[in-house]
Parts: sequence; C-alpha cells; structure tokens
Amino acid sequence: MTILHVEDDPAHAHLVRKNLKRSEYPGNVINFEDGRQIIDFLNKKESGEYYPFVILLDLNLPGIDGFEVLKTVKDDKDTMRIPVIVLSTNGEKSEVDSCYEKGANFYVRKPFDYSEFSAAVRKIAALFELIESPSYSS
Amino acid sequence: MKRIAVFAVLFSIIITGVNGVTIKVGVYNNKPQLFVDDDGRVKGIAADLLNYIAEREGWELEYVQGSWAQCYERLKSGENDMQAVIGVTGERLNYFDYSSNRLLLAWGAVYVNDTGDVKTIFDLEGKRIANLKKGLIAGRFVKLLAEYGVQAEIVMTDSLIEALRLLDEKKVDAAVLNRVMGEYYEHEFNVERSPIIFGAFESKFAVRKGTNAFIIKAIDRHVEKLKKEKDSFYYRTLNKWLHPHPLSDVPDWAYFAAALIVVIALISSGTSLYWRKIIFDQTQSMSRQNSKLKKYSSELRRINIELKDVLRIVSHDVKSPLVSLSGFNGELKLHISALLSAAEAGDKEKYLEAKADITEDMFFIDSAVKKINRLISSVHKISKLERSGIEPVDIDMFKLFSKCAESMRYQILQSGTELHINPMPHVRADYKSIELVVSNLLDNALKYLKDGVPGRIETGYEEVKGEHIFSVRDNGVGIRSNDIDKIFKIFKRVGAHDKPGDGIGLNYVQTALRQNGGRVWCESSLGEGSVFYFSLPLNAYARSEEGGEG
Repeated sequence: MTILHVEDDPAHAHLVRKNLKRSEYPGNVINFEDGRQIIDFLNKKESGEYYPFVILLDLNLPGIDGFEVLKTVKDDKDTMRIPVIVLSTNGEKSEVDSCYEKGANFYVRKPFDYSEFSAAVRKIAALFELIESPSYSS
Repeated sequence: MKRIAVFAVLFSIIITGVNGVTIKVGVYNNKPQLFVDDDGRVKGIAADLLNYIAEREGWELEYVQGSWAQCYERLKSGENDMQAVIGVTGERLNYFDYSSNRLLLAWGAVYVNDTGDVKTIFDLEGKRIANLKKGLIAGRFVKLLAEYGVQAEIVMTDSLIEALRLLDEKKVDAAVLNRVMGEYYEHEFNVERSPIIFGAFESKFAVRKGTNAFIIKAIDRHVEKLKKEKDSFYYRTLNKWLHPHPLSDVPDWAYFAAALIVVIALISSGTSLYWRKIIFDQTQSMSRQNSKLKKYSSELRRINIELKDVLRIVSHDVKSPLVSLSGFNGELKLHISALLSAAEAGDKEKYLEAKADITEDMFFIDSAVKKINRLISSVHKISKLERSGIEPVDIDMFKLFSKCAESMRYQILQSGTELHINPMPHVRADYKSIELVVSNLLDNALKYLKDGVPGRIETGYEEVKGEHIFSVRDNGVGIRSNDIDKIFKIFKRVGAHDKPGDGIGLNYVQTALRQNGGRVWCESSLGEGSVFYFSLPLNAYARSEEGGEG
C-alpha cells in the first residue's frame, strides 16, 4: 500500500502528504528528491515489500528528470504495471501528450485542488481494487 | 611606189621623234581618268600616263578641251591627233585605231538619291535619268532600257559631272556614270550607287583610223612595260587617282572626331576604373558588413534561444513557489477555520494542533515568497550584467585568483582543502566581470567537494591558439556527463540539492565571459571531480575596437 512520491520541492511534497493524510490514506508515502533515487529504489530487491500501488511523479527534477523516470518505469517489465500520476506545474498540451505517450496514467496540473488530486488517487485505487476503504472505493 | 610611201612614213616618225612633234589630245571631263582642274591644268590617270610617255618620247602635248561629243567629233575629223579615255565599240572601230593595252576596265553604274527606291532596272520606269551626250555608256543604257521595255525620260548632259549635279539637286531621279567616275565623285555629292551595273568596256587610247600609228605603238610599248612592274608609275598613278581619299586628305573634323573619341574613350576608361574601384571598395565594405551582420545575427539567435530558455525556466520556477503559495493559502484557510472552531468549542488539543498547522503554513508561505524574490533578483542580476558595458583594464590574474581565494580563506581552512594557484599572466578585460568568474568557479569547486575526502583545488593556465585558457580543477563529486550541458543554464541545478544556491552562478559566469569575448566549458567525471575552463582573447584591444564599430 505504498505510494512513491518523487518531488524535489519540500513545500510541494508536504502539501501532497497533507492531502493524502486528509484523505485518510492508510498506507506509507515514501518521498524521493530526484529521479536517480527512485530508480535506484525500484532496482533494489528489497523494494518488493514496499511495492507501490502508485507513483506520484513531478517532472522537473534535478539529475534524471521526470520524463526519464516515467520512461524507465514504463519500459521495465517489472515496473511497467505500476500506475503513474504525473504532477506538473506546466500543463501544456505537448507535455500532457508526451506523458501519456510514455505511459502516464494521469496527468494532474499543479496547483491542484484537493478534490482533483484525491479523485485521481481514488480512481487508480478502484481500478486496481487494492483498497477496500470506503473513501477509496467509489 | 608603195615602197616609197612606206619609207616616207618611217622617215616621218624618225624625224618627229627626234625633233619633237606636237600632238593634239582631246580632253573632256571624265574625272579621274581625264579632266581639267580649276586652274586649267589637265589631269587624271590618262594625262599622267601621256605626260610620262611624252617626256620619254620627246612629244609636245597640246590638250584640246571640249565636251565628250566635241572630242569625239574632233578625233573623227582629224582635228585632234589622239583621244585618251575612249571606250571601244564595234562602230568606233570603223573610225579609230585603238591601243592594244587598255587604260582601265570600266562599266556603267546607275546613281540615285535613295537606293531604297531603285533596286532593279524596272524601278527606273517613269524616272528622269541624266545621261552623257554621245557617251558609250549612255548609248548602252538606252539600249538596256529598251531591251527591258522600261520607259524613262532621258536628260542628255554634256558632262558626267553635270549629270551628277542634276541628280544631287534632284532635278533628275537617276544619273548614268561610268563606275570609275562614280566612285570618285560619290562622296562629294548627295547620291548613292544603286545595285544596277551594266555594259563593261575597255577604256583605251585612240587615234583617227589609219593615222598616227607611232602614237599608239609608243603608248603600247610603255604601258606594256609599266604594267609588268608592280610598283611602276602606272600603278602609282592608278592608286593615286582611284583612291582619292587617302589619310592625308582626311578632313579636320575627322581628326577632331578621332581626338574626341580618344578623349571620350580615356574618360570612359578612367570613369570605368573609378567606378570599378568604387564598386570594389563597396563590395569589400559590404562583405565586411555582411560578415559582421552574420556574426550579430548568430549572436541574436543565440540570445533569442537563451531568452526563450530563461523565460521557460523562469516561468516554471516562478510557478513552483506560486503552487506552494496557493496550496498553503488553502491549508491556511482550513486551519484558521479549524482554529476558530476549536476556540469556540473550547477544544484545547485541536486548537493547539490548528495553531501548529497555521505556523507551518505560514513558514511555507514565507519560504515561497522568499523564493519568488530570489528568482526576481537573480533575473535582474543577469539582465543587469547583459546590459552593462565592459571596461577593459590590465588584470594580474594571479593576484585576482589569490584575492578571491583569500575571501574564501575561512571555508578553505575549515574544510581542510589544499588550494594551489599556479603562475598566470596579465590579461586585458573587465575587472568586475572576471572577478565574478573566478570567485564563482572557486566557490563551486569548494562547495562540491566530496564529504570525508581531503579536497584539492588547483588552478592552471596555458595559451592555446591565440587564447588565454584558465582552469580550476577539483577532486569533488563531479558531474554526470548528461548533465554537463545543463549546468550553464539559468536556475538549473543538477545532482543533489544539498548545497545552498539558486542555480544562476554558472550562467552568470558564462554571460560575464561572453561580454569579455571569452567562453566557459567543463570536463567532469562523476565521483572523480571536475575541471572548469574559461578563455579570454589574447588581444582584447582588437576585440574591443571591433565591437565599438557596430
């Protein structure tokens, strides 16, 4: 029931955590500050016990950026089934299209409101039938 | 008796040859073969030739002037002894004995005012045509008209020159001349030679039939001899009279015209050279301007790309704190509401919790505002640097590196870093810009050293291909090869964000160097360290002056 959150801006990371907490999301949230960290994490065998049900991914990251992370996750047969919600301040059509082409499941533009963000998380949870909690099953 | 007669004739010749005889020669106006000039002197080809022969034969020549018709009759009657320039016809052979050697071969030619009107004999239909009275050519021309059934009015003239004059005055439509005379006179009258020519005949010397045979024999002897020598008197005479417009006769206006043409040609040539020089200079100048424009255009393209990059990056980087502002503003509203509810309900625990949340919200809002401020200041700083002029001065680079290192003395000692500054030359550049470059590069080297590993920073210098090349080498964390191009972009930070910085230092270095005609680049290996190089032109004066022209 782990959510992997890749975000280099601590304020944004904090906001997401607060929203998840307000939604009474019961699982873990692991935060990564750059692309290299999450790729290294997914490559480790022990990450199996923290196998995420969704990755929340910022695009503008130092080092390996969000696009590269997305491509790496979706090109790897071991991680390609992990849903990815892209969180970005840009919102331009070319960027949205590019994310969906690379396999993103949702694109949420920042600043997002609580309902938009939690709807995306709920839909993914329902899709994968991973969460039985009433707040995530509608 | 017959023998006596022959003897008498021979005797007569010998007597006259020795004692000199007077020979009457008929002269009519048939220039240039035979004519009388304005001073009454007999001239022409035949006259020259007769004078030549007479001198050698001991003859006295008496020229008897008249019209052609008069000359013809005088010869026929025996009044004149000889006639020069007389055409040979079957009828005349009944009256005259001719020389064997001809003076010239002649033929008839029709002259008109405008050749556009007369191309063939048929075009003479209905015209008034001047024709020489009793002339050989005139007779043949009349026959020709009859043969072709052309009806024309013939106006008889006493001389060929009169025929030409009538034509010139347009009192007739055409004039019939022998070609020799026509060619001689056609330049003096407003006439043109038509394509119609006819009736070739030999122009010879003649005496009355059966008389003065010695004259004919002497003429034949001399002419035959003269014709054998290419440069003889005969040919010189022909050349003199048949080419009546030698260079010596060129009119004054022709010399003036030629001189004028030469002057015009020289002026044209000079003008041409002048303009070629002007065009060449202009082309060179345009070529220089063009290469400058290309340079500026390339610079503008680069600036445009950078500006787009800056706008994109700034818009993103400004958006990021704005997202925080927006998000925490929302949180703040919720927490204030919770705080008020808790206060109303007297729920101290929830009140304190809401209060802590509000403090946190305020912290993030404050951070976001500060971040936006920093961004705006950075953009302003870069923009100011781009706009500022440079003041090249002499810089002792060793002293400059040492001064910058001195200002970092505390951090260097604290981190236990070993710093080597090697010998460096003086350069000519803007002091503030280069100071900023050096301090940024040293600061970066110091900032990105590896934890737990003794740091080592070394500066270097070499001259390569007309440039000063300086370097700052460290044994720090290094940069991934994929990230090397990104580090010079504004607000771009690669690797972990565990060091303070707003991501403009290297962009600032790049801009400052560009202002001074230099550039910056980096070689690095992740985990092993980096070398930052920067260049400055060897001849900074030249570049400064070049830039000043624009």
